[in-house]
Parts: sequence; structure tokens; C-alpha cells
Amino acid sequence: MTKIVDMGNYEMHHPTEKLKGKVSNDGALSMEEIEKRVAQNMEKLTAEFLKGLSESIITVNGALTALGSREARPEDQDTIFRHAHDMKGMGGSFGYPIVGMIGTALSDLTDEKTKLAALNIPLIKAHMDVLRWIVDQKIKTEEDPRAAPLLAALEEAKSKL
Amino acid sequence: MTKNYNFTNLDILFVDDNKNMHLLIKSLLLAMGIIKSRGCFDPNEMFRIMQEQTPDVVITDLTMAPDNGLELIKRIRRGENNVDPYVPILVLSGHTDIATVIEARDAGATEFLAKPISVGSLYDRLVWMIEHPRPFIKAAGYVGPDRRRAMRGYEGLERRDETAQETDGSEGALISSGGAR
Repeated sequence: MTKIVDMGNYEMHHPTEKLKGKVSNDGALSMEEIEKRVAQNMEKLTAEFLKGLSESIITVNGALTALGSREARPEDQDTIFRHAHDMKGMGGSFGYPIVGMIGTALSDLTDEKTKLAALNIPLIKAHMDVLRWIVDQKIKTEEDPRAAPLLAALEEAKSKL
Repeated sequence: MTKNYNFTNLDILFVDDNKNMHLLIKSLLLAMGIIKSRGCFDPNEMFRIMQEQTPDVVITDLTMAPDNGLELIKRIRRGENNVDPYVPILVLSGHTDIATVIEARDAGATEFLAKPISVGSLYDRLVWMIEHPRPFIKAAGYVGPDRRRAMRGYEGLERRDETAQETDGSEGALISSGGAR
């Protein structure tokens, strides 16, 4: 039963508090145990993530090709943005923060603030090339020495392209 | 230090249009002992499932095709199709800018968790929602948890909106920051 209090120009509702009644401290798992359980399943999840990422790369490259053609469509830009946005959110969640970093850069390059005609296709392609290589090499972080030269080249490309 | 809880009896409903996020969320919830979680890929499917059985917590992404999570939150808060308008709603989003957090809060979200997520941060938000229930405000321009009480992780980021404060009384102290375990 929700208690409703009239406050004049708005109402204050006090709904029955259900959530606390559904949990207890008895039989609670420790965070150590929970993290152990997550770790046991993470390898399988990461394999799925990388498989999905490879599929995303194919889709994004297809949309990039379309954008480079005469019949560039807003849907292609939206496709790239959505995949990039997913990479941004999922990279770190699956233990690949470098994928999140590239995803963030790609999101910024393709978000709705950027008009279709103003898209920097060569720079987007450069990011996709780096991403492909990162996935092939299973590089997880920007601290990996193999990533450093490519990330540096990408930084340089940003100032030139 | 966050208290540990037994979550076995919780029923969680989540929506995200990415299948890998489904696998991850399901796995994190299961690791916490939450056996009953239901996932769906779009807000309309979620609405249908919510009508069948009210979950204890809704978890939603914001950027989904073709619909978006903000509209879903507003529909729930309006109690569309007789769903429980008071259900706690946790937003998981890759949009980490403060403007998006404010948008989610103003749509009626209970809590916000920025992606990337970890089991610790997700656990922390669930515990926060359990330990800090908020009354609801129903005003002309807003239905949702009282915004004068901060969301976890965004304390200290205050916005003052005097016009809104005068009209619905729920604007003032805002959302919060920094809260992972």
C-alpha cells in the first residue's frame, strides 16, 4: 500500500518497501567468493566477446565501405556508432580496456554531432585497422608493448587526417 | 565497507540489445547468487514480461535500437499497462557524461552505473538501492524517485534548477560520484 502525501503542487509517494524484505544477511556470499565465481566463467565469456567483436569489425568495415561510396547513408554512420558504442561499454567489462578506448574514439568520430558529409573516413579506417590488429593479437591494455607503436601512429594520424 | 547480502530471492529483469552484455550481466548476477534473472533485447519485450510478473529490480541500457532506455524508464514511471511504477531502475550505460546521468535521473532512474561494469560495482549499486530506498515524487513534469537525495556514485555534483524546484519540489541536490567497492 502506497502512502500518498499531498504537498500542494506535487505528491510525495511512499511505496511499500519490498526490496529489503527479499534479501537477508544470512547465507550471504563474500565478495571474494563472488569474484572467484566470475573468474571461473570469464574465459568462456571473453571468447564470446572476441567472436562478437570480429563480427562487429566486419559489419563496421562494410558500413565504412558504403560511406565511402556515392550513396552514403545516415544508417551507415549510425551502424558504426552503435557498434563503437558497444565496444566502448564492453571492452573494459570483458577485460579489454584497449577495445573500450578505441570504441570511445570511434564513437566520438561518428556520433550524431558529426554530420555525414563531415565524417573523417580515413581516420575511422585507421582506428578500425588498429582494432583489427589488437583483436588478432589479443592485446588487452594500452600498456602492452605491442600496442604502443600503433597507438602512437594513431595519435599522429589524428593530427594529420 | 559494503554489507554482504543473500540475493537468492531477488528477481531481476534486464534489457540490453547486445547479446554479449546479456551473457555478462547474467553471469555476474549468477555469481552473486541471483538465480532468477530474465533478459530481453528491447523495451517492448521488457514491458510485456513486466506485465506477466513484476521484477524486484529493472536494469536497462540507454542506447538501444530502435527504442531507447530513457523512454522505457518514463513509460514505467507512468505505470503504462499497469506495470509497477515504483520498481527500482538501475541504468547501465556507456554514456558516461554528466548530461546523460542527469537525463536518466530526470527520466526517473533510481541509480546509474557507467560501463565498463564489474561485479563489485554492480553489487555495490544493488546494495545501495536496498539500503537507501527513496520516496517518489509525482509532479506535473516529473514522476520518479525523490531527486533531492543523491544517486550512488554522484554525490557532490550539484545542479540548481530553481524553476523546477518551485514547481515540483524535487530538484536540488543531485546525483553522486565515485562509489565502486
